[in-house]
Amino acid sequence: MSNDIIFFNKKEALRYFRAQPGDAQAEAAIDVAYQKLKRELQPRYTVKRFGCRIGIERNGTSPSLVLLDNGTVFRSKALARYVGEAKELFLFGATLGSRVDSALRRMALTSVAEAGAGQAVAAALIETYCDNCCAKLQKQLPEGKHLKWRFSPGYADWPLEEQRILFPVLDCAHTIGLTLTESCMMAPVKSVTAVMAITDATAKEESERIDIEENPLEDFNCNRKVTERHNLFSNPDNKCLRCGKTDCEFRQK
Amino acid sequence: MPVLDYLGKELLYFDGAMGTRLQAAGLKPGELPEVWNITHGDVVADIHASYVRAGANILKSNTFGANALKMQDSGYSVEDVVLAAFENARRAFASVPEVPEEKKFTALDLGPTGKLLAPYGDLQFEEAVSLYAEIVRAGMKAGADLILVETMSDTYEARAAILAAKENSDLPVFVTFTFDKDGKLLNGADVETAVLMADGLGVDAVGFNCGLGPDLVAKLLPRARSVTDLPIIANPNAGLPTEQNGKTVFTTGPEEFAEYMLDVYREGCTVLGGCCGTDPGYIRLVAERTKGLKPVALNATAATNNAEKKNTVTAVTGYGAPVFFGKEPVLIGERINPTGKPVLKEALRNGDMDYICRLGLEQLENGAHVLDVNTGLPGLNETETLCKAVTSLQAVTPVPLEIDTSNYEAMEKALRLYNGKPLLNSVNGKPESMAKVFPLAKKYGAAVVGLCLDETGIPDTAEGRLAIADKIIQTAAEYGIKEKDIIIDPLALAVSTDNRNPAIDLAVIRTLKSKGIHTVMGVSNISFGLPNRDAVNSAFFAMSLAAGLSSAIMNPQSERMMEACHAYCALSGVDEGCKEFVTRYANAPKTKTMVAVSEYTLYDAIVKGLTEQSGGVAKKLLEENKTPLEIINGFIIPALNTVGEGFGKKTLFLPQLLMAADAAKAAFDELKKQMQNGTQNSETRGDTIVLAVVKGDIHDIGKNIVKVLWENYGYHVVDLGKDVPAEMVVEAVEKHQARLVGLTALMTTTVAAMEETINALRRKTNTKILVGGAVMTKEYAGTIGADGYAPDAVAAVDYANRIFKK
Repeated sequence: MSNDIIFFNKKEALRYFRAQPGDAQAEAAIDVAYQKLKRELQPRYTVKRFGCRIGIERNGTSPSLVLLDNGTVFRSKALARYVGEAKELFLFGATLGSRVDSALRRMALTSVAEAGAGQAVAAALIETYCDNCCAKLQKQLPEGKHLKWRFSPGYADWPLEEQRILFPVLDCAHTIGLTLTESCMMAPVKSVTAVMAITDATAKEESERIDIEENPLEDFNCNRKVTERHNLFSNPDNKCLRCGKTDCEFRQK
Repeated sequence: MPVLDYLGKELLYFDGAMGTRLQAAGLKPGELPEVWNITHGDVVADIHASYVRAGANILKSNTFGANALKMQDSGYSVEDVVLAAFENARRAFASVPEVPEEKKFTALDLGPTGKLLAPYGDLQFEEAVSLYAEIVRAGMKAGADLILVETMSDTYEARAAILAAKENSDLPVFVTFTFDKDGKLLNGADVETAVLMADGLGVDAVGFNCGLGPDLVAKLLPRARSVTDLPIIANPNAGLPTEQNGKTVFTTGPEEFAEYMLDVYREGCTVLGGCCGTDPGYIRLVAERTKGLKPVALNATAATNNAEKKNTVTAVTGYGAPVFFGKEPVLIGERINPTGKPVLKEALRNGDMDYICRLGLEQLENGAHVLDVNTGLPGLNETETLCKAVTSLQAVTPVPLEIDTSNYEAMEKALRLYNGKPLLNSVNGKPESMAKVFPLAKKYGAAVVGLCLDETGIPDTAEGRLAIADKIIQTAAEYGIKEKDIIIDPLALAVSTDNRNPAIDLAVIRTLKSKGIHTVMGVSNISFGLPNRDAVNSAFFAMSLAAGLSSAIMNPQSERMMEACHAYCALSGVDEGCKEFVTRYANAPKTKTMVAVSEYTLYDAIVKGLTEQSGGVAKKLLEENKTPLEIINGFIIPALNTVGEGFGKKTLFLPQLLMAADAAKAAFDELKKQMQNGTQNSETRGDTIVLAVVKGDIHDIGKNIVKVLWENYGYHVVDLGKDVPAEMVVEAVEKHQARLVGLTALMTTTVAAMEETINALRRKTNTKILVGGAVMTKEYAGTIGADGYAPDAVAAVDYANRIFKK
């Protein structure tokens, strides 16, 4: 759960940096930033598995509740749609650690380009780390069970404030040093929390269903969110293909 | 009998896990275990009793998270929960009468607050101290026998808890940290650093808990012993936790655990117990296997040149690796000191902590191990400035700092807020100085620089200075400060005024070295009044090092001084096989290669984002007698305009924009040097804009980009930083009479703070308000009452130019 080595996906970092293909200067900046951040990484994750079902709020017409078997309730239509018929889910938290925050501050003191590159590199690293953790969790699941992509507080109509519910249940301050500020920001900054539903459908069926079902992220103005929030689909080749936000500046071609 | 009567003299046993056992008894994820003290008191008491029967003589009260933050919505007060916890422990002990009464202890358990402390999180240090203080007071009322600060993964939080324990009780304090298998805390501190800090704060025992199994604790334990003589505690997990299907599993069984705990004992641990995943079966086996064994004698010997003396480890720490005195020379960067530095003075007056941090980082890059921080400036509140400088520097670097002040109030505040074991500059032989400084050094665990002067002045003989050194060390001992924590400064006086001066210093250094006492000196004073000072300084530096000087307060940017130091290390054998010397100098160019500036115009250098060239060309233009204003209007602004337009038309992208901003900044920095020797006064400086990330928001990358661009266009930007309260924005606007304010917010949860700030500004000022940030839209900006909205940094420049009619 700690001290993992993370593969550095430079292509992703360049995309977060909004660099154009063949931009050698941007590439050099990304390389420098990675060298500086590499030695500061202390990635950790924690995960808890729960039974779950979705429910309808009193006076409601469609499901807008996700109820966990420990009594926890999350309120979001999009999350309820995401969970769907799944009977189990994981709550997940991951962080690169506070030393990365400190290193990003150092970079910001000397150069905005380096600071921008540093942010992009850290974003790519936390994404890859989360993908690796999910792949590991998928492997542990029995045949026929599949892990859906990560759905985080702040996506669609799931309020960021529900981090306040998620954090104590996940106990991630104690286990991985991931904490929440008064205004629901995560500290350390380069961190992710998410729900991952465990479904019976295969990944392929799942992605096809997303194609036809109403895009759960329709009112999620993707390009206005922090970079970590963009890759919602866990297809390792191109995570953006099925996202409805086709004019997103981070969109993978 | 008090627990200290047994500690270190015989083995003591903590209990094992409470949390994982409560979960097994039905505690749900997210439910507060501490509330079970009241709602399920019998369950808690039964778990305690099972450990007592297994052989534990110290119970950890079930108060791990019993702080006001976690209890606020529980319906119970901190005191309710703590009193109930101790009642449960008492009942448990009473139910096992066969254990003698005098060997039953209950520790008030203090776990992490669950919040990250500033600067990484939003819990202020003093708030953390208050949270712990409340539990400690309740623990005193409940009759605790000792305090256990445990599962600490941040030295800063541990420091807050230990201070709270010491300030609100007279109980013994134990502290255990949670390291990863490399021996690092979550905040990056090494085993040695955490232990040195705790030892400095005067805890009674220190050690390990949670995180690792006993096998890995046994491996890390020698590192703790190498820096402390304190009794050592080990409460490991039942092996490294692993994740299986979303469940945390501990894989080391009781037999294996007890076997490894024997290794832990052999490595010097005298208080043994367990953490997550352990149960009475584990503790019973540990107690049985170690029955009748005597504690191993402890003697810290790390990195010292006189290993025969007990506890001679002299070291200071930030929150990374410690810096040891006595092996390689310790270089203390002297440049954060305003004496004779107009730019630094101006930065301190403006509260420009970024500048201070840059000065610090530059010195570290050049090889400093410790940074001296002196912010004394007439007319400035030194307490406030020093604390700000210390906390700002600690936000960007984990290296140790030397707190340098003669203002006792500033000294205490800065020592208190410091994360680690600081170096304190300084005390001297005057009774008043010692009476003021030593209590502070003792309380906050600082190593202290002792100056060889007293009420009679600076003696002009080595004997006279050594007598003062002796007096300082003797008096420190009366305050409980060990000799190892005093570093003597023989005081370098100008050779030009008396040519005996260098010999006096060298004699003092030699004598102290022979006694195993460490020394520090501000070397460059020796050359005062002479030409070619670097030559004199570096020669004297080498002579002093050869005489045994442990550390120097010096300018690491002086290549001559650094060369002297590296050469000394190579010649003295400190640099084994001259490896570092060769690495540093074998392939180094003899002179720095000049950047070919002639290839680019300043305009091109900026547009292409070539920082080094841009600075070089700007310098050249100044040499050709162009005025700064001509350069700004003729090159910098047109270049930035080109980049800005390209960005708007999507022919240029974010990386180019940022690199151009850096390049323009480099040119601007050259101009600044020219303009009034680097200081700007109100006539030369541009229109003022106040810039802030609103309260609650800690994301500042966007703000930083806007700041650099505005500055590049000549604006004077008052950067208030992030997480800025509304009243502070209003105050800055009023103070600087700023006609424009830029506010940013990244997250939906802080837009309310943005609106509040706007309302506060409207009530008291008539400034224009520009907003931006990831969550903002033009419509939303209008709704909350902003005057303008900037989707990106280029738009922010356009807006400012319109307001100021540029």
